[in-house]
Amino acid sequence: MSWTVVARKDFRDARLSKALWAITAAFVLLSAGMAVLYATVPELSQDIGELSTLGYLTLLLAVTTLFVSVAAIVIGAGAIAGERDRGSSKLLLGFPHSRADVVLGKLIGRTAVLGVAILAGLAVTLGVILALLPSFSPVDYAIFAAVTLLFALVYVGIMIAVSATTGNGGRAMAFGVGVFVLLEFLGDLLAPAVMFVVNGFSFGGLAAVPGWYAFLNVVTPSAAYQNALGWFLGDGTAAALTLGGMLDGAVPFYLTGWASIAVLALWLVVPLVLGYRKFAAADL
Amino acid sequence: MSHTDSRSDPISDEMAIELTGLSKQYGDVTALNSVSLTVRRGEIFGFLGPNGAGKSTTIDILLDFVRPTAGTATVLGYDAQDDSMAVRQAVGILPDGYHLYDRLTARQHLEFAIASKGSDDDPIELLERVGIADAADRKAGGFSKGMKQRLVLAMALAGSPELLILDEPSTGLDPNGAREMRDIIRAERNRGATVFFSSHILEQVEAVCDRVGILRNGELVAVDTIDALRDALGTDTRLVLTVESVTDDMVNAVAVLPEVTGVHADSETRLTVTCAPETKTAVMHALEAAGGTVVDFDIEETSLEEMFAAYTTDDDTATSSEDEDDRELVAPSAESEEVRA
Repeated sequence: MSWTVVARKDFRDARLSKALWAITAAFVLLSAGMAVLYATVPELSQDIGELSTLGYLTLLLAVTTLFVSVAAIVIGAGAIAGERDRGSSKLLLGFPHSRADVVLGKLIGRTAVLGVAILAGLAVTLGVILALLPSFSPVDYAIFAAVTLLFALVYVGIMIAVSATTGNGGRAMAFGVGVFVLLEFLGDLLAPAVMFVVNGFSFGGLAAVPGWYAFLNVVTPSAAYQNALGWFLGDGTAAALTLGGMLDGAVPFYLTGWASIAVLALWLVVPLVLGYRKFAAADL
Repeated sequence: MSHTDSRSDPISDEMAIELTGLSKQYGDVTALNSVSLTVRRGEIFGFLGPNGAGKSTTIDILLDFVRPTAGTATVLGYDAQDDSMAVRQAVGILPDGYHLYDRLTARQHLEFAIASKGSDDDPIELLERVGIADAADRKAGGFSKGMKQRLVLAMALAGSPELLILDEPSTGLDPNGAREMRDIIRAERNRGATVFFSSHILEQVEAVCDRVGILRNGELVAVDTIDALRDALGTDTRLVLTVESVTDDMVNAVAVLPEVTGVHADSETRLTVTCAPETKTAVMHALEAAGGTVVDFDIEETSLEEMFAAYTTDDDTATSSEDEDDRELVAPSAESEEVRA
């Protein structure tokens, strides 16, 4: 199990990153701070009408999405490219580790670091919730934590994949930010843009929204993460129904939480396979 | 040339490293041009050449950091490309241009090395061997170049490798550190390991190597023992003569002798003459005939530096860029005094 050696080394190393500690501190403050605000400022909970774990988690979702993606860039984008740039990859690969071991070890090591940060933030927040909210749903909270960890694995995976494609740390960071912008901002434009094109470069005359349009709205990692949580938390189908409300009939399978988990799995595997292939063929 | 990937092959088994027609192109640049070389098990092999000659590229191919454009490399009977994991399991490596994990301690570096090799070495024992056990729990980010070099050497020793590949091992070491490095290299050879190390520092090589290979502009220009290489370069000897007072007449009288290739007045009382060994007496006679009284004389063999220069420099037609390369050669300070013009 050579990758476990790489992962352990990497965990020991990356957990000491000051940038990561700064981001984690920001996440803890934001997450716990939002819990305080949610419990004490009535306007924030008006939509739902009552204070609840679910109501708070819905708010928190936006924060974790941003935190996980930004933290993944910070700890993932330089993971392989940075080592090649500095020359520590010669130390690493001078030992009997395959390049696949390095990719897998980096993925697990860095995800573990981010996972610890997420769990630390959620643990502090849990204290605030227990103190201030009248009700608490441990199941919802556990589901939230689990899916968020999966999202972290996927996002770190994407950044590790980016990192595997180049031997230049700065370029990897720039690519990482580029991918982030593409996924987080341009991703939202994907569905309308495709619709615009398919509809003959116009938005006019649309009677019913086709199924693929709804699916394109949950196809980026963040959207899939949020859709999955919307499906699994509380009254599961509500979020999907909102999204699929434009569609006729029942919620189609591709809008369910399980479909979104499958989408996340693809986001985990496909970029890593492509990144690994580039890395495996490269001269260090 | 017969070549085999199979480790069970008896001929391969005696070879620590076997390069066959190894070439590496980077775009238009030829880093290695059809290098063939054999390093036997149990020897200390010095891989010499100016910076940029292709030494690190060769080592990078042995470890599968870099893939050759043509040719094959076999390490301990394993193909360096197809069987790289087996190669790196059996080899200890001190790479060139490495970087340590600044946030990890020396001990954590060794724990990583030991876990990677699956050996049961004691991190502290290895650190003691390289003389930095007292820094075991300090972060490597604060280490001097010499300490880093010692730490990486300790990592290379983990798992008692069959072959040590050391790229410029004395980089950053003070003379004392360089001597300790040589002691470790000898001790590893005595344990039964093969040592393959590259250097542009000649003193290192002469002191420990059984054989050397000289690489120049990506081509292997010589492989032999140091003594054999010295012989092959011709038999010119250098006479260092001390006279009461050097005059132009004396210099001219010696310079016209047929077997003399060079005369130089080092100071007011010292002359250095390069000549065939049998010309020694004629030189003395010529000097005395010109009015000189020889107080003392000394005979020097061709210095390693001169030998190296002869193999790595073009003749008079040398281009200026290649002269540039040669300036990177570092001679031991004692020798450079002797040849100072």
